[in-house]
Amino acid sequence: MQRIIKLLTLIFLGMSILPGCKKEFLNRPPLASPTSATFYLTDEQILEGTGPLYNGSWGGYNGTSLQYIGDVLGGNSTTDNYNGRGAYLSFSVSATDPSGALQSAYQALWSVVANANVVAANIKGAGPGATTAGKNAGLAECYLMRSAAYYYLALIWGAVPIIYDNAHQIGDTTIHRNNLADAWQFVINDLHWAMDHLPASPPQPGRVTKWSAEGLLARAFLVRSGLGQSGGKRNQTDLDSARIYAGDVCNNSGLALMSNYYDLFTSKYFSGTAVPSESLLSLLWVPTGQWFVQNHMQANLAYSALITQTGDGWGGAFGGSPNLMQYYFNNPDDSIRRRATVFMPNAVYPDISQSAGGWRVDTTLFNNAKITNAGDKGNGYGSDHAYVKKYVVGSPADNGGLGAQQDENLSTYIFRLADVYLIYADAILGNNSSTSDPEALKYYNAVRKRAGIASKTSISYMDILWERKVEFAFEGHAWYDWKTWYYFDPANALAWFSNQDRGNYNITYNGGNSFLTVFGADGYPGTVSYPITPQTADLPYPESELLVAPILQQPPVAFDFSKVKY
Amino acid sequence: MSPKLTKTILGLLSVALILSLPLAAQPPAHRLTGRVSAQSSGASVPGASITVKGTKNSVQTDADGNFTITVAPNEVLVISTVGYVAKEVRVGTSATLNISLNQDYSSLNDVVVVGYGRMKKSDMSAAVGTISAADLDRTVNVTLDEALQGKAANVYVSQTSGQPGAGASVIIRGVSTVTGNYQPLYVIDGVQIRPSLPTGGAYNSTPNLANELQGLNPDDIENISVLEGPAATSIYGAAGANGVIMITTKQGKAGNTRVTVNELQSLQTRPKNQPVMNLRDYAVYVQKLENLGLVPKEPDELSDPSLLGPGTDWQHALFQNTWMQKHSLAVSGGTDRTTFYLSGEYTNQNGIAIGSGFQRGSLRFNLANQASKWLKISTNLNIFDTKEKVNIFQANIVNVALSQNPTIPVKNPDGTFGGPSAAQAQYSATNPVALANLNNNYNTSFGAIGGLNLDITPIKGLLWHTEVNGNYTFNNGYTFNPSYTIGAYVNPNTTGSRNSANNWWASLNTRIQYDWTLGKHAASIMAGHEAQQYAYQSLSANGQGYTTNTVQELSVASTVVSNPSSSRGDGSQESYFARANYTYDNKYIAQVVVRHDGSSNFGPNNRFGTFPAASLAWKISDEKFMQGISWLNDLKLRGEYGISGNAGPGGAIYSNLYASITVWGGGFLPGNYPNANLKWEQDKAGNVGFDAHLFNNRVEIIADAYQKKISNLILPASGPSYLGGYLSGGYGGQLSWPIENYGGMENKGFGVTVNTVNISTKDFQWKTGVNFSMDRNKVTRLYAPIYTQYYSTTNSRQAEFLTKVGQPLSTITGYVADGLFQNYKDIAGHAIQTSNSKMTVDPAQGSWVGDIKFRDINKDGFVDNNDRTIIGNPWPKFSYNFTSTFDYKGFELSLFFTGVYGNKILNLTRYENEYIPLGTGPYANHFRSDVNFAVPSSIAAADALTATLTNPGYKIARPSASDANGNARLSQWSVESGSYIKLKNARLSWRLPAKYVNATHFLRGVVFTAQAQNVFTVTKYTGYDPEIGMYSYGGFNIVGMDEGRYPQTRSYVFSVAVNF
Repeated sequence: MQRIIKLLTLIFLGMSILPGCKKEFLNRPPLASPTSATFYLTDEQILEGTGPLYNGSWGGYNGTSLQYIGDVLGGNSTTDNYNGRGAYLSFSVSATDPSGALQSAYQALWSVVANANVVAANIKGAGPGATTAGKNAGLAECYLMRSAAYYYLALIWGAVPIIYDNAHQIGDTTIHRNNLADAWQFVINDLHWAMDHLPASPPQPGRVTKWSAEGLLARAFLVRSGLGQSGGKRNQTDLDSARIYAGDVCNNSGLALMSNYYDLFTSKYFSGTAVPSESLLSLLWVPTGQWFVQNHMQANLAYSALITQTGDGWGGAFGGSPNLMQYYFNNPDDSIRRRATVFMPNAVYPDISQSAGGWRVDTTLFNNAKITNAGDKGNGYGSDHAYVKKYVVGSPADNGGLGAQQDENLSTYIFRLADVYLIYADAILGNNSSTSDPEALKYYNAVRKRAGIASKTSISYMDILWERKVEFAFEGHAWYDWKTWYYFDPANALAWFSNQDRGNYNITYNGGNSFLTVFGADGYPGTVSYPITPQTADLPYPESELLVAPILQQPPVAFDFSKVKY
Repeated sequence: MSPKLTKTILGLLSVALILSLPLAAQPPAHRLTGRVSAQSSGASVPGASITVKGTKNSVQTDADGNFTITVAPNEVLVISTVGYVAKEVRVGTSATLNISLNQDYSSLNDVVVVGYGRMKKSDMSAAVGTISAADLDRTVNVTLDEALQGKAANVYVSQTSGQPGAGASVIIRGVSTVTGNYQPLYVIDGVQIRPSLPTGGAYNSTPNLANELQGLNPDDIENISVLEGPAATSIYGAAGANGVIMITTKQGKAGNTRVTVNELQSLQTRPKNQPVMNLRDYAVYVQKLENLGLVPKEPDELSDPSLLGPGTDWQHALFQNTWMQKHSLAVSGGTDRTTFYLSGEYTNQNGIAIGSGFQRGSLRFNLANQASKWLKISTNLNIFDTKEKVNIFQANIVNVALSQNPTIPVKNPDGTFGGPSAAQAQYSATNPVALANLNNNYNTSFGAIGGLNLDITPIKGLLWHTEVNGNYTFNNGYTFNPSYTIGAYVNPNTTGSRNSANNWWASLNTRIQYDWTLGKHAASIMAGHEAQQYAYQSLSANGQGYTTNTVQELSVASTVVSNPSSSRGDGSQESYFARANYTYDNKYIAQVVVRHDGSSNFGPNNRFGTFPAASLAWKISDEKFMQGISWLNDLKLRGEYGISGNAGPGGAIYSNLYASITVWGGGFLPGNYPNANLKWEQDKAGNVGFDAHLFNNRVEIIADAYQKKISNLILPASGPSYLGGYLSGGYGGQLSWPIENYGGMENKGFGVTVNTVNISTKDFQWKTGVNFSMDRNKVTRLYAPIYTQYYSTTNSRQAEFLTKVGQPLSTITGYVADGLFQNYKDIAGHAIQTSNSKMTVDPAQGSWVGDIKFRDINKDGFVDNNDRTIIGNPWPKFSYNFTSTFDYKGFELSLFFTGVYGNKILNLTRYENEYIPLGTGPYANHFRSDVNFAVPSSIAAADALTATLTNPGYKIARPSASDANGNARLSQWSVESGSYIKLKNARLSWRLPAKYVNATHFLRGVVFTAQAQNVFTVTKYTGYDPEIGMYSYGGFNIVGMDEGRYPQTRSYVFSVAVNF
């Protein structure tokens, strides 16, 4: 009997223990932040989800990477060998680049791809309150961002892996590089879809539109037209596509160039929600004090802390390259763009240092960099070059009271209408040695007209290339434009860079507004040039990446496009 | 009930009946008086219980061991008390009876607290260390974790800072996690606390060294069990992987109310100075720099060093001899049914560095009530209030004291603080004493830990135990750094911050335990259920430009520097657990444990984990074939195997979004890759060991060897960048890598504890205890090597720690220096040293005589980041502790040594203070060794071929403005042996003889104690103190780095304890 009582007691107590907790007891989603499952419920939230794609992950590319690869490597900018950045002058960027610009570009651009993919995956699972149009517009923004990153990835490193769904691919250790042609097809597919799903006018100023996608699509076709070609000939089908899409943007978008070139690079016209209609894709920074949400480019470009008034301004080593300066001296009429691009002695900028009545470029900075030590030749010594002006906007006081150290109140262009104009002209030129096609001339000369220089009646490929070089100097374009050329005319492209003057020069100021620039005099080597070869025409993968993913050293493989779901 | 059992019971009853019958015929009872004394010493034994066998007739001896009891002849008295072998004596007709008891050296009858229960030590089959209150008394402890140091084998405790109240790092059986929390689980009367990793270092931007254990008064602890073996830890399943420290606080005892007053005063002394230059050295040094033309000419006062005094000794000015006080009162007592323990304490520790300190007030109330035969209710509650002053951390003040030059006075003749001249001011070395006084940075914490227990015993052998317990802590952090002018250094900006955080944890658990014995079989089964829940929230804001220095509130800040921020979160866990023990013939012991845990850290797929363990023990000494060995009292062999787990940090299964600003307003970006399939980290551990008691139990040996394999380590999976992750993402468009189960580690080692009673005579007793531990940690699997870079205040000169497969966690990396360049040939014949990979023999742009010759490890012709290599293992090869206690009459002398051997320390303080950066060169003080920096015969480029060193034989590289050779690179020269042996504590106490005590009629005892803590340290280490803890930096654990941390120093302690 007692045994039964014991048994019953045990069962009773056992039952009191067993039921345990309700299932929800162990469900503890984060309380302090939303999750992908609790956000993206409405069209408005989708916009809030894609908005940060315009800054954030681009932050590591904006700044030194944009500058070193785009303009130093591209031949528009001088530099010294601080932290080994001289390698960008001499086409000797190593896999362990001590300046960090290579790694930073690499990580940032993949981060753009990752953010675009993850946000896209989240939007696909968006809640019931979101409309199909809202979802599609959000997805289109993601895909456009992804394609923009791939444009740089492909032109910097050549064949790269195609990452179309990070959440799905993250554990996969068998990801190979894909053929370069697949990367461009991927870019084209993305932009096609984006063009079809983006609105014609932006829901908020500065957001990408159908026209952004279409212009970028034209650019992608134009780049691809040269892929795998040689001898200066391009694929006509791709050229035709480029012409059609670029032409549609030029003729039907209703967009126009900003009338004043200088204003393009001022905070009054290009910061916050002030975005020129010429902008098709820009990085929109916010001066918040948050790293990568703010623009830190001026810190590395401005040649003096007196310009920024925020303790930064470490850009004394940078200035117009001899190659670019030769152009300005040979084309003195192109002074509007020169003034907006580089600082020349005694020039006055009323919008900088406004409280002191404007910024006058101190002439004592010049005439004093004669190199006496023979061993220093070509070492990047001499600091009297024409310093960088573009994207240098002065102190917070000069820019609506906004900004701080490494935090300027200004946005960054990735793609603007002038680019589409020149793409259109290029696509029309096609495989001809020159063209006088009125459509081509109309848009080509529109760019020159704004610059205040004479129109041309016939244009060649080199005319377009030079126009791009000068129009987009210090906007991080020159390398990518050269690479596009290199695709279909490697011999000439290699020779052009190999013979380009990448040394230093001395500006002698003679009082008044006259100055004399001496190239190759006073102990400077006459010309410093560095050879570029097909091996150095693609930059190396960062060594840290190869350590983690040695698979990247294997030959690229074809990509299976059926995996990509839009 | 089985017929057999019924028979047995009936049998017993009839025997009792038969035995009791003749008693009725016995002669009448009489009064018996007597004295109980110890056989060995003859000392009286107070508090011994004397019971007439088979009756409830029982008395206790008084303070002199005397007793009086009413007995009848032939009755049997049972005399027993803790520490003595119980004795039975048959009563005669005499009216007096003196009894002597043999001392019992065996601890086999001790009861050990294990997870969810207690066990007799002799029945234990798993590796569990025990620490008694007496052991804890061997050191002066302000907080609990420091009290653990050296008290048990394979428990590696090191203070991370001498800051009063700071936490210690406690590592049981090797570190078992790469990025997570390696601290063990503390179970304080059922309340589970895992203290956060000690933050530390010399400076900390948000100084909050709050240690969750600092609210507990170590004097309230009755005993501690350290669960080390897998069969012991598995009962805590997911939380048990790092070991468990079970803490039981004191309970009252039935009888007269006892009052204990304890008064403690401690004089804490300054550390020994680090060898910085005094004014004379400094003048010589500056002159040498001037002669080389490296610095502008200093004022003439320094031109003749022989005329100068020693100048300001900044370390002496910053560190002071200070007092610590502790006042405590404990009242305990009770009746048969109700017992209580009530204690209160106030500790006030002034730090040896100005502007640091710790205060604690705490109150404990433990109450137990046997409400009825079958119901017991008990409760325990601890309330504490602490305040730690941390001025010293905010401005890196220890390092400022080392680098401020001796020409500046602490105070000017007019009473204002001395400061740098205009020329020196931009190099920001201000006045550390002034900063420590002006700043006002502290943290307060208020909290409670407690629980309520219900024990129901419906029938004999069956226990139903239910407890609710929890803790709550409310923290406030406060910083205020006023504007000031010290000399020519002007800090116009006032900054301040406030933060508050609160968190709670609660658990409800219930368990049933049933014990029974049947002949030679004894068994016990236990099963239970537990639900835990925790939550936290915090709020912080900071501002600057306060309109006044007197109102230190954000309300007068003119600028809010960053937006006020807040955070909150919660988590939960649900568990089922069971344990079964079986003992056959007291010789064969088997135990099986299983726990099934569900955690909110995991998704529905892998939410639950099961953690089983089993252990076996064999008391081989009880076998017949061992009976002949007279010197062997007891030998038990043990073996166990089991699995514990670790739930890692929460939140990893969700795709968390974070707010990111856009030009259109707020936005949200994904912060991490979620991993819905995240699962439990698994620790598979095996343990073999034995317990032996020899020579009349005077020698106790406990030895254990273990191996622990940790798999599925919960780690951020750092993959290729093309998958777009960052190690520390979650801002600025950076996605954090998913937290995955990847990576493994292996720990193995052994520990031996030997306790002996060497001499035991009437007046003199000598006991020793030794423990020796060896723990080896090896990383067996990782995604990629993990480099943890520590940026010191001089940003560019960083220390780097590497965790990679095949090596222990967090090894020290750096370059290998092969001496200084002596001449041109030396430079030209060596790998290129410069950062621009150009071979130039040049004083400004290349390598020069007197520069450091770094080794080209990878033989690629130049020395760059790839030539960093492992230059030190921060983990000790073994550690050991030794205690020796001498008792002579009322005196007790106890010595406690602790030591480690074979570890390396990165002496970052020396590294920072031996490198001479010319920017601040003329104004910053350095180590005295810098007086003999390398002086080249020429620093003109033209003399490249002929330059030589004028003072060969020293290691300090020549100063150079450009440092093109990269002399600032950290090398093995900065790594030192961390081996030490420390007399941690020497303690002499004297118990006031009984005759004086008794004469007062109200005192029970008085003990005077004098102690010295950190008496001396034998070490080759040149920093303040080789005891360097481990702390977390940027999500990873850094071991063995000394960057000017707050030293532990010698203190002299006097205390008196009075019992009423």
